[in-house]
Amino acid sequence: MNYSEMFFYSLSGIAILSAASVLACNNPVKSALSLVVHLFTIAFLYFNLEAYMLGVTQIMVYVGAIMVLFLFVLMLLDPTIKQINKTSAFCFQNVASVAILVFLCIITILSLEPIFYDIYLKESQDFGTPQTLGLTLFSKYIIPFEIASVLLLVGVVGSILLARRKS
Amino acid sequence: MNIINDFLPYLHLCPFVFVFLTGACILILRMIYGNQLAMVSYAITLAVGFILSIISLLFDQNIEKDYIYGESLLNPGSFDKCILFIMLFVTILITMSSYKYLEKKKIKAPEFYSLLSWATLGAMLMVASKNLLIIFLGVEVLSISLYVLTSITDYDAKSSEAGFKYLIMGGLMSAVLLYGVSFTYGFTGTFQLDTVKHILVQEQYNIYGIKIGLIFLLTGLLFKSSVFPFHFWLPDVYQGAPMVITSYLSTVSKTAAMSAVYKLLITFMTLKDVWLWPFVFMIIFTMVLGSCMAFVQKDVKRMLAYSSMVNGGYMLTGILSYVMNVQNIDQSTMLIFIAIYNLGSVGLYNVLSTLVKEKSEDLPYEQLHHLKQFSKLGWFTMVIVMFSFIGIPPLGGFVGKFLILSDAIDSSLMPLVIAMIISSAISTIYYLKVVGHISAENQSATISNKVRSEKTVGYYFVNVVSISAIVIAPFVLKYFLNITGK
Repeated sequence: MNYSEMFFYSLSGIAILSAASVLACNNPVKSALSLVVHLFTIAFLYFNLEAYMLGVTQIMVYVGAIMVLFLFVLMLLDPTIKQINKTSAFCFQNVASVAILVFLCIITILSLEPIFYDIYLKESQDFGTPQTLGLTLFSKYIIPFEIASVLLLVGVVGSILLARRKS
Repeated sequence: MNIINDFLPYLHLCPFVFVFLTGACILILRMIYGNQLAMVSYAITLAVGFILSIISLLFDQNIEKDYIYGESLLNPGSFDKCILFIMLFVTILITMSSYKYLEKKKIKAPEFYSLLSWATLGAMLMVASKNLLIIFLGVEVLSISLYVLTSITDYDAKSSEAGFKYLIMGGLMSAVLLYGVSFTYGFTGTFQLDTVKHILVQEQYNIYGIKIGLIFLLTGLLFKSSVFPFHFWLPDVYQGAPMVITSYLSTVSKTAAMSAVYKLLITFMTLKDVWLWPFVFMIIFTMVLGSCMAFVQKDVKRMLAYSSMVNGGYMLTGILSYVMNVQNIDQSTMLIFIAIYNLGSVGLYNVLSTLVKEKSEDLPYEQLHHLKQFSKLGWFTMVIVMFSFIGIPPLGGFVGKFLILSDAIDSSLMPLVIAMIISSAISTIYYLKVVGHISAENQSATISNKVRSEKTVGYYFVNVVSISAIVIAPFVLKYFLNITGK
């Protein structure tokens, strides 16, 4: 086992544990902070795969923007309601059991045959750099890119529409 | 001239661009004119934009090569184009039948119509592309618009509940679909379904990961088409959504999902031993269980939700028998069934939307009484559509079911044939129940006509189109079959 593999396994371990603690924590702020840890480890996994652009985007968008927004909303809410009521623990068991079941299914299917020896994707010299990503995004994948912007527009219009209505 | 030459490779995108611009134009009109414009003008804008889109679909047939940077992303074949025609036409019909209803429900028309046109853009992308990335984006655009449209009614808690349920379940299933897309990409290195098919035929790579990807892809798309184990969202969402959106869900959204499932099955034909029997069982349960559940419902909208599920089962039977026996079976069977089902449903929901109350979306059977006095044409449409759904011989519904049955027999899918006959038999009962209720006159619980919205030009037009499509279909059929040439 070389360093890269050790790095990968330790990071995945932290990622899984922090993802579990997002569900397990009763305090919403603690949950949100565990989610920050989780997203950071995922970003480091991307770095490990030499996808630097993706990793930086992950940190900027998820950790920088979305998680700060989460915490901001949590602070705006009533600070006395920090404990979610007891049913969440029960829910957590259900969710965890289903997740573990699905995970075991996938592992079983994957372990029936060794499949990872001939993975087809090959990396080029400038894999994962902002230049490559930008060029691919704005030439080959320009149509999906534009559709994604339509998707964002739909999201904006829809959320304003729902937020402004009378209850 | 240079500018024109630059735009030429993108001309085939015209239908999609028109549909997108329609939605944007409606919002801009709203911004400029405020509340001065009548509701109808937005509906007219949508209809005009969609007609432009249909025309551009007709025209771009001579531009064969749209290979931009080596991959054809949006390249609808003739079958896909027929589906696109049906979807655009049905959306225009829904728009025409909707503006009075929106006034009654106090729904903001401009936002409603722009979201409706963008939802249609998503559905069109799902149909027109053979690229998993575009199909996923199409699913997302369609779903997110529909989550909002489902919960658009201001004061109705049920509508919000329906939207929320749809959002949670749909979000989960989108994640599953995306997981499938990433698995397929990871093990084949491509998003193009044609290339995936090629790889599967050659067996040059290990296909084990692709099998897992296929399972996730099918799960995600079968949720959208509400097939048996994934149908739990269906009745609540159909009941809570505004009637116009219920109509849209059971026609355009369902057709788009079916088309995507069809493309997947064609692609993964070589992996038949993985999915065939589970899939057949799912379809059987969809048809039989769906019609049993429809039978016990007390609300017309819930009943129609299960009825659309059953009809989805019939569509899947047609698709499966085509996929199993591509050489001998004609695609026009699917087209005919889908067209007749869509046009019938639109007429049906058009009449029902005049019957719901201002404050509530519920529609118990008793509310159907006195339809005959309220509108003779509406009553006639309902009767014709119901008889067509049952499958009474001269009508279009019979032709569709008959063709699908004969195709299924040709592909020797006997379990499906038997299940289809059983579910048709059960469905006769609940469709006739509706016919009985709309014809009832001397009931004590009368609903004043004030509740019912006014009849507009759009109302009459949609009814006439729906009736004529169902009645004329059997005669046009011969022509249809000759075109595709088998």
